[in-house]
Amino acid sequence: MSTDHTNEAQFGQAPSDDQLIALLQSLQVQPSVRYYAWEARAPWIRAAPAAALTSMETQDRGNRVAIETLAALSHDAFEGDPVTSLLANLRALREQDWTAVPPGGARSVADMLEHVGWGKWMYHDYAFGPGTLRGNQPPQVPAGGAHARPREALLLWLVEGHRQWLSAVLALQDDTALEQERLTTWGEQLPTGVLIRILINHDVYHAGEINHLRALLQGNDRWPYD
Amino acid sequence: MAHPFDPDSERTGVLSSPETFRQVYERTYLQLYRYAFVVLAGHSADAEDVVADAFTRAWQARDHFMGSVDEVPIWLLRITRNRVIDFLRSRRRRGAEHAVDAAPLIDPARGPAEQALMTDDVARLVRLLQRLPPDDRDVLLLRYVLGWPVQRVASYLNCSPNAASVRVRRALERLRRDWFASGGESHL
Repeated sequence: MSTDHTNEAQFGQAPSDDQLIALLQSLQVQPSVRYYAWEARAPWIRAAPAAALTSMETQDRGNRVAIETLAALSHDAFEGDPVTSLLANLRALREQDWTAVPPGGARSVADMLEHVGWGKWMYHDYAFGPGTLRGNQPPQVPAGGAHARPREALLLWLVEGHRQWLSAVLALQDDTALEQERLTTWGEQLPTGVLIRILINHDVYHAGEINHLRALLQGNDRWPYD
Repeated sequence: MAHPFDPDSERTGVLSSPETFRQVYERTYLQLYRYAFVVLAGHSADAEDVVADAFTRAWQARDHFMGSVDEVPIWLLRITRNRVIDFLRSRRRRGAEHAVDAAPLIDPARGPAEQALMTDDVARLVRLLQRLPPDDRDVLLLRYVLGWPVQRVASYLNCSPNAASVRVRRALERLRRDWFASGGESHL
């Protein structure tokens, strides 16, 4: 919400057109994570990543097999896999687990998700966008020096960052685009396909971390068959 | 494949493939959610259900859509609007009326005092929008909440861009009068 509500000098007066329009624009809200959970199962959303795996069998998608396979793996790593994905590992969290740190630890689940979201937004901005985001400034870091933004805001930001990244991947023309070098956040140029693989592995890596942290916090760190 | 919003796309079957539907979805779901959110008085879960239902119906009916690519957002909005109306009817039948819920509109980055002021103004705006004639409410939402250009608003209203501009202007004026008439302090 970008509306400036600091002008309080007009109490009791009819607002100007500009003020009303700004207030109307403040209604440009986002749905909750609950909606995005539904969206992930919608047939037209599932169709795009899933098409990659089908195409590997039928070989009918020509020169986009690698792109769509990487998109499918990105989707699985973030939310598609019901057990191992990053979002799947948030389901068993209790309210108090969100910002808790176990003995000897220093990073909470929220801290880790800030880091994952940071990666998605920054990688997208540098590889596919103008490269103007600054990693140490809001919105890349929470406002006011907080460790992490509130849960709902953090999840929305994270999910939107992933959607943006996945859309950019799916928008690639054909598999030759995976060879094209793009800018990284640290100034190096890397092939697009390498950047996509980095973020897939990044999601999986931190999903595992979160799972272990949750198990420590809940006192049930054991193999599922024990 | 032609881009779904490319005016040169073919006039028929523009939504047939899942990929095209997905692209359309990506460009429109926020607009439709915001429309439902306001008309349903800020009840986000209800708005989410309505939009999910609207897109599911659009998906099932996609092969029957024979309009041009420019008409897709309008078609989707009409489906959503009908779902919202059905939802409100059903809610009235159950006797369940909801107060305005401004909570989802509050930016957590704001301080508590500022959040409280924002709640008052937003809740008041949403309340006043509920009381506007539906056509006035819709043109304001399309123009300023969904961010549609006047041309598209005109297509939705089936009138000229000039006439659409006039209707937006009149609706804004009516909202301003209602705001003033509703009394109390404005924190704008």
